[in-house]
Amino acid sequence: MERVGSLEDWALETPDGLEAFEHMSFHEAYGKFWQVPIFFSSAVGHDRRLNSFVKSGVVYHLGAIAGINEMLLEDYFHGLADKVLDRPENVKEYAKIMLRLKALYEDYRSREKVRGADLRMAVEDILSELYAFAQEILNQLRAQR
Amino acid sequence: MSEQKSVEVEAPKLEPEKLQGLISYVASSFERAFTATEPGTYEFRGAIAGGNDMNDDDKSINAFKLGYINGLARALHLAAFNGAINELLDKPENVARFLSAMSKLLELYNEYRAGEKKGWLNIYDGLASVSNELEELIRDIARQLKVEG
Repeated sequence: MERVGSLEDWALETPDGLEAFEHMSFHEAYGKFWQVPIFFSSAVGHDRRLNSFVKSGVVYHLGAIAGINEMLLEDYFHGLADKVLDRPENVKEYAKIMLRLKALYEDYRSREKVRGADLRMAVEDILSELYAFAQEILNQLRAQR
Repeated sequence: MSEQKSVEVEAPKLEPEKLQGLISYVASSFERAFTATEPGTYEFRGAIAGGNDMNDDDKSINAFKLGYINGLARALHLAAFNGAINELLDKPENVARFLSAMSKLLELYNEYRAGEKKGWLNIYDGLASVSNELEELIRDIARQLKVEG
């Protein structure tokens, strides 16, 4: 039977190193990562090692990451923050945060044992970083206006 | 010794028409609207996780959507708090749109807790409607800001 590529395979095609993002626009970088929270939450949802409360806590925070990503994309597409988001240092910072999420996802998938509290805390840390990134973008936007 | 009689007193019911002061207060700024409604997403997640009407996959799908709504709301709040767009967000029509979306979410939560609304798809459909409204609000605010330059 022909093997059909899975969602997880797609996520793994995202570049690992920051150098790949040096000449990318924010939109291109976003395109490499936007589905990672979805794949991650799908894997956690199916994980029999974790109980319902742990799963829903981890997935909730992955959803919040997707929500903040969406806000950044909307601001980009409507020309509000495109110039600020496209600054190389901002694309790099965004890629750095999302690469951490991807690395966490891959590490999670490769482990035989998972501690729910650690996983949740790691996702919450990345959410906080993305939140701080959005804050920095708004600061730059305000300075520009 | 006199016999004591117990009298049942009916708890007063909330009458929406008597809550206008509260509604006006909450609707007077984005900050107040956000603070009053934002915790609902996390509480709803907890109620679904503890329920027995969905399997874990379906609970996760709804937890993701609740987190997504929270992320959108927090991003808006960040923008308001940062001062980048607070005047625009504080416009009564924008606060009303935010409150209307979040009120839908809280109504769904109340119905779920009361057992009136069950099943992952019913919940998911309701949450999708809330997230669509918030996305549309974000788009409109971005458009308005772009016009204002």
